[in-house]
Amino acid sequence: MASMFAMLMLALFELVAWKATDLLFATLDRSISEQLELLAARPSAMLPFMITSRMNGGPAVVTQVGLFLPDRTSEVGDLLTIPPDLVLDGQPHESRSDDGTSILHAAGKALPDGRILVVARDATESLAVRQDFIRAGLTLAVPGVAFTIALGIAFGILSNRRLRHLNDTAEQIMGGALSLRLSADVEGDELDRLCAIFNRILARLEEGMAALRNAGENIAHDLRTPLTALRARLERAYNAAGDDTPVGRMIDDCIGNVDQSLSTITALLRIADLQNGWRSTDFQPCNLAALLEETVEIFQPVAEERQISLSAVIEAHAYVDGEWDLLVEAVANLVDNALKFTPPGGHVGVFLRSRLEGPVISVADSGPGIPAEARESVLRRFVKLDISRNSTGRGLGLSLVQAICDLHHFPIFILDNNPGCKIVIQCFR
Amino acid sequence: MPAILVIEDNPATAEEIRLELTRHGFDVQVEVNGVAGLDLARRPGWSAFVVDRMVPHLDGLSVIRTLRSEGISTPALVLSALDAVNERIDGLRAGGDDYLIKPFALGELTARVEALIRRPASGPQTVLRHGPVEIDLVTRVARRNGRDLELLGREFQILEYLIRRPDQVVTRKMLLEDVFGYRFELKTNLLDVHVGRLRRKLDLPGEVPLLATIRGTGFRLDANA
Repeated sequence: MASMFAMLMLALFELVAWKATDLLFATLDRSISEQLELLAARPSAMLPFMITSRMNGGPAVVTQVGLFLPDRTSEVGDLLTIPPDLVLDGQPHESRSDDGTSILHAAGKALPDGRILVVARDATESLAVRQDFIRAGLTLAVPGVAFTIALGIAFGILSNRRLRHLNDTAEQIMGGALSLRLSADVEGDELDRLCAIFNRILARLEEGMAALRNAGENIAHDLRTPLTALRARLERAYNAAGDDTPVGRMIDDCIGNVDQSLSTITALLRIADLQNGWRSTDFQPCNLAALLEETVEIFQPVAEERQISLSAVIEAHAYVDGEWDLLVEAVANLVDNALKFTPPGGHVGVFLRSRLEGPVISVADSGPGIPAEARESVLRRFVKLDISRNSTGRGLGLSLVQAICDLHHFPIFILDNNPGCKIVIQCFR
Repeated sequence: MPAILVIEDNPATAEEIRLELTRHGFDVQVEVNGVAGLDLARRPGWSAFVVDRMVPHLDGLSVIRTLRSEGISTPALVLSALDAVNERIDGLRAGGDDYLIKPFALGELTARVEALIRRPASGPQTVLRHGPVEIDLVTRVARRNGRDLELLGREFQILEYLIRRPDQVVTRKMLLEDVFGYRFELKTNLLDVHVGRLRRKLDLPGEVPLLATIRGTGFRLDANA
């Protein structure tokens, strides 16, 4: 940017130089034309005398004049030959001197008696002036450009540092630190004004989020408080009726139903909480290898009971910044799901691999899998929280996994395990 | 008779808690607002507090925080309708000893209150005994009447958790949270599988069963061999 500016400055300078010397040439040409007209207007008999007396006018005379016979031989004057390519139209033209060492500006005209009058002036000096101008421009330009570039770099570093700071702050805000604000000078530049606007948007957003959270808390409170009393009364009724009576069994079913709807509400509120309320700034380094090995160890007996082989393949020992309990929950849900959908004799594998982007967790099973055309809709369903209430039961658990991954900014993919399903979480350090 | 102070503003819930805890032999007093609850809590003689987070005048966590700052360390169970992930941490930071999300099974409440009152001794002993069962915390060997039970890691941890709370009901939630570190619900019968394996090794056919299942609530390690 700075070098472009410097080049522009240089071009501007050269344009001015060019225009100034152009003016010099125009003045020179005008004086030639005027002298030619002046002499041509004299009676032709007086011309040799006037030319001669002009020649004797002293060293200040820089214009050369020549009067030539119709055969172009010199009759009188200090210009001894007509410049070879001169057009005799009375207009000034640029041409080279005979010996080729100097540039002439000359105007010639055929007189009524057939003789030719030429006025010329050496333009070498004017050209030298133009070249001096250009040279001076370049001489000035080098330090000028260097200074401008240095200035540009300094400004660049300063504004880069500022942008980086803004970037970092924005990242933290995205991570949930909604109370942070971008630094903005009240009487600052355009960027400051933009930051101030952004800060006002943030303030609005924070208010909105707080209102949403309050609403969530109120829903939770208003739902849970009466359900607590209801559930307790049902339990008391169950104890009074006894579990071996039809009424007792009916009440037990009711308690089951209350618990079922409650766990759905709880999970939904939790997903909402993960999406809105969590601060990723509280993350700690988590040992993924230990996490996966422990999960496989915990689920091993379940796998054995179902005659499924469960194994962990740890190819990398990686740490990621995250919330341990939530990552455990995500992986446990994936393994739990995989075991549920894999028929006896099948296999469930948990893998930790290292990729350039960061560690990759995958949970693969040999169950029926998810058809390719349904995978995207399954993922979309997580986002919309449109939980399937059919018998598969994948919806809620995977919605939670998705919410946890989103919180950590870890993309999640559903792939084909040929046969079976493979769920992949791409982690970043 | 252990005295329990319940600070809960919802009358129906407070009444059910009172009935349940009374049924289990506790002497229960209910207070409906935070300020009056705090005054009452300052009197000596309580075995435990059960405090709802959202009570009028002074919220439950402030009540507990004030009590702790005054040097009153009577164990407190926080009840809350708030289930946000950070809420539990806030509750424990304020000085609460345990945190229970509403609605809860009454058995869960009782088991947790019992667990608070009879907090396990964490003395220097390396061998724990209950009836015919003993576990060596150093060698990680568990025996029943001298018979090596050959427990796997988690099975040993479950037995240790039970033996530290002898004759007490330990709920499924308590085991999942404290032994597995799982504060979330799973659809599989993970816990039943682990406890089932422990039981098969602990109670051989013909032996008096020691590991009792409390229907709908959890488990209890008995000593009646």
